[in-house]
Amino acid sequence: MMSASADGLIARLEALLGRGAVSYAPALTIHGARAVAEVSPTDEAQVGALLRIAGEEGLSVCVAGGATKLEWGDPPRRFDLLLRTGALQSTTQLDADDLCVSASAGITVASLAATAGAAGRVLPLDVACLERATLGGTVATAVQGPRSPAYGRVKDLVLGLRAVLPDGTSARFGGRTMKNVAGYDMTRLLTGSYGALGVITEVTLRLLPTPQQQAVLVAGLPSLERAREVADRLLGSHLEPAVLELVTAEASPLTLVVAFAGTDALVARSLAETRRYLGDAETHVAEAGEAGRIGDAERLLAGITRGATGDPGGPGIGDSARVALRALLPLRATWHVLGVALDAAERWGLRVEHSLGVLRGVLELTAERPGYDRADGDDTDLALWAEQVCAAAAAGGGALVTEGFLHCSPILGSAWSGMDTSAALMRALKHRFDPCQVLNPGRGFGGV
Amino acid sequence: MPLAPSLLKRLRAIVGHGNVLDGTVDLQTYEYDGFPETHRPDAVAFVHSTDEVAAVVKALHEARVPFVPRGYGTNLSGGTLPVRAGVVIELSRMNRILEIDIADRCVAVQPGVFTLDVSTALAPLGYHYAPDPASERASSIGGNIAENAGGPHCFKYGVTSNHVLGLEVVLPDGDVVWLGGKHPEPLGLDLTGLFVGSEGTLGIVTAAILRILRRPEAVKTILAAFSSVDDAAQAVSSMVSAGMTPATLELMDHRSVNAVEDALACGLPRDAGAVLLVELDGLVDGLDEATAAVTDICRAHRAVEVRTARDEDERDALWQGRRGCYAAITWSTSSYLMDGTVPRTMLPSALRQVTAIAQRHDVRVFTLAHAGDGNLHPVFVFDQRDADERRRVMAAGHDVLAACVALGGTISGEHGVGLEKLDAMSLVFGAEELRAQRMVKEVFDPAGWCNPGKLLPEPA
Repeated sequence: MMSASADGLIARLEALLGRGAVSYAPALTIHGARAVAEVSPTDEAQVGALLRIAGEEGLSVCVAGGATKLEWGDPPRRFDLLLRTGALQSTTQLDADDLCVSASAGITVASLAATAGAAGRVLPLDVACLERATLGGTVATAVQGPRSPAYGRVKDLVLGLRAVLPDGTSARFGGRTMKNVAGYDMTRLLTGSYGALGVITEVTLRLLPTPQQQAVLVAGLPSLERAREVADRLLGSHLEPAVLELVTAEASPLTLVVAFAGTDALVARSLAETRRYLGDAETHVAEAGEAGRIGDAERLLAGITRGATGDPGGPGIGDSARVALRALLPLRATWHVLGVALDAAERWGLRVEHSLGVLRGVLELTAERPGYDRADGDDTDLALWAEQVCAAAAAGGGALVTEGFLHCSPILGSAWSGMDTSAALMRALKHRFDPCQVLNPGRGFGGV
Repeated sequence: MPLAPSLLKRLRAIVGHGNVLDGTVDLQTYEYDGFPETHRPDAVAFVHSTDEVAAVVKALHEARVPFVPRGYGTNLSGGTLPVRAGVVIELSRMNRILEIDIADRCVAVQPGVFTLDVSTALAPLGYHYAPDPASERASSIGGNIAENAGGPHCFKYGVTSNHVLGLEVVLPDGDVVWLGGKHPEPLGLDLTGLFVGSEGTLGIVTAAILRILRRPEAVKTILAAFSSVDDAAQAVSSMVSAGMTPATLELMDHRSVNAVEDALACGLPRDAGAVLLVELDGLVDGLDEATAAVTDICRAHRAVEVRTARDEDERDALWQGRRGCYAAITWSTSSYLMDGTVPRTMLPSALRQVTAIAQRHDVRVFTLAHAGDGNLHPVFVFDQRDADERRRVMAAGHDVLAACVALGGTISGEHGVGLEKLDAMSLVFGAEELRAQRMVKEVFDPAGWCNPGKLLPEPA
């Protein structure tokens, strides 16, 4: 840990970044832990110099963009400096004709999406809190939301990136081409690495054309079985939903959200066919966008799918009143795990919200105990619920990560769970790239 | 240096006596791939299961003998050549489809399955595996994974890496691990993504879980003929910037078209300066409008002829021409096939430079391109007996790669670095970036016996 005698260090940090870019009272915590100092480098060279200083001084550095996913994963083993990437803002190079954009890591998803939109393009990142979430953080966690079927996984969208490796050296991998097999796919290795192998400073991402038409269809369904039946019929059809998600909504706890994007003819046909699968008995059917009002469809979709996953980092998380899980599953297993989660919640008297991505194999869950008394502080029921969901996910051939790691509970040993024989390889890679454990030590899967 | 008799005996005990070859004549069959160089192995071992691969690799690891995995030898960058001799591990007998899992939208296959056979098996169920390298009838899934193979339909559907969910891998010390699984989103570090395209240098794939897709409801195949390569390339750029996503956007130049017509008579227009093969797929609804839009853009770029295949036979004939093009060009000559890739808007410029480079070096070039992806395949042809022509071709090849890099592109889109582009790696990577990649290699293969001499140049 950084000692009080480290006046020399403070001088070095301030000399490097300027006094204003170093704060000794960081507001942010990670699982309750607080850094000694928060630093905000403004360019890649400063990031490199910081990591070199950290290496020399034996300090560990956790990285945060918009801090919307800081509570995902395990607590850091050591936490001396908090590196904020928000001041990395220098580059935005958008090529509308080539449908790609290169931008600095600290730019927010909302701001980059606006830039892309102004050029008639769509930034295919679907994240919660996009006003705060940064490009770098989104790529480092590779979290993609309900629009994943239309957008693709984050790892399929990143064409290239720049990163500072744990020893402070800068590297550029990939590029601006659609295809690239020169050397190892380091871009993939860094995407979704939760900052274990490097600090991402710039990303080149595919853009998509703005669709001519877009529509969202929302239907409340009476049971999980019925929801699955409709989803299966959609999967077996030729339709290509842009979103196919079973979420908790105000009107119904089992709300199927289906969106389509494309030409007018494609969207009209897709809506008609989906209504047929839903049958006459279904109610709560609402639509948007049929009159070319893409904005309406967007707003409807955002409202519904965000409701289920909440505001990451919001009140409760970290205080054990609420736990959020993100399970990565084979498509079929998503249904079973959701069933287990709902049954267990009923048993423990917990309120659960969910978002089941039928096509993306992701199940997002939050559970909270109504009337939680913080003074009481007992979160055993939440932990037991989480444990049951973890077991179901592992049995289904998947894995998951929790947000708001339940510190008080010995039941969950780690925020990560899942069978993976390759964890030893991941640790070996981490050790080779970061032998001094400078970057985000212990936060990733497998103790990485 | 021949292998120690004790090692040969151990290998034969693992895979069966007749499944290890070490006679000179037998080995000559394994000294080449699709790259114009030869390197003879000391032995070839035919493996039949993950256990056999693991046992063979363990034996070789202990004996400190290099090894190279091999599918069907269609590699174009020398990736399957045993440059330091040793043992070729031949995977063609691991050619079973292990599981078709429609509910999870994936298949599990062994590495020796022919790429096309995956889609053939899925067709009756209404599904397909999207990556379709031109060699799909002759190349293996294992090889496609090693090279991160592309193909014409990658413009819409993405390359191999976008379709691999999980891999069973024998590591260079003989350990067996699973990377990923049936879940579409990876957990932790994306080792599956790292392994795809690692050219057999990090281990050997013994099983793969591949994402499958519903076959499109309808397909339209359009042939557009232009009087010049430039017009065709500009039409491609316009389609990309207009936000169109055809399934394919393939380009062939005048010489390629005529080579195909000489060999296959597919009905391509011989007098065209270039042709584009554009395929649209998806729902029937909206497909006619999309076809009309493509036709309009082609005409706006002075297409001299635009026609849509009327039936399956016409469509097959057009594709036979594209898929058979490389063979048609090279059946009677030595060739050097390039794989440079540029940002898509740079395609017209890159193709102009290829022509200029060929002229400058006084060499003959045929040009194909996965134009929608900005992936160029100039084919330089030469007489193997003419040392000077061969030298000029190699120099022209280097210039093409340098030109692609200068345009913001890279040295390989889908064929890999292998042996061929070791020198060109420094065009795209600095010392630090190469060092980071060597760290990856060291973690997987600290002893360095797994396909040595490929992908990464030796440190200077």
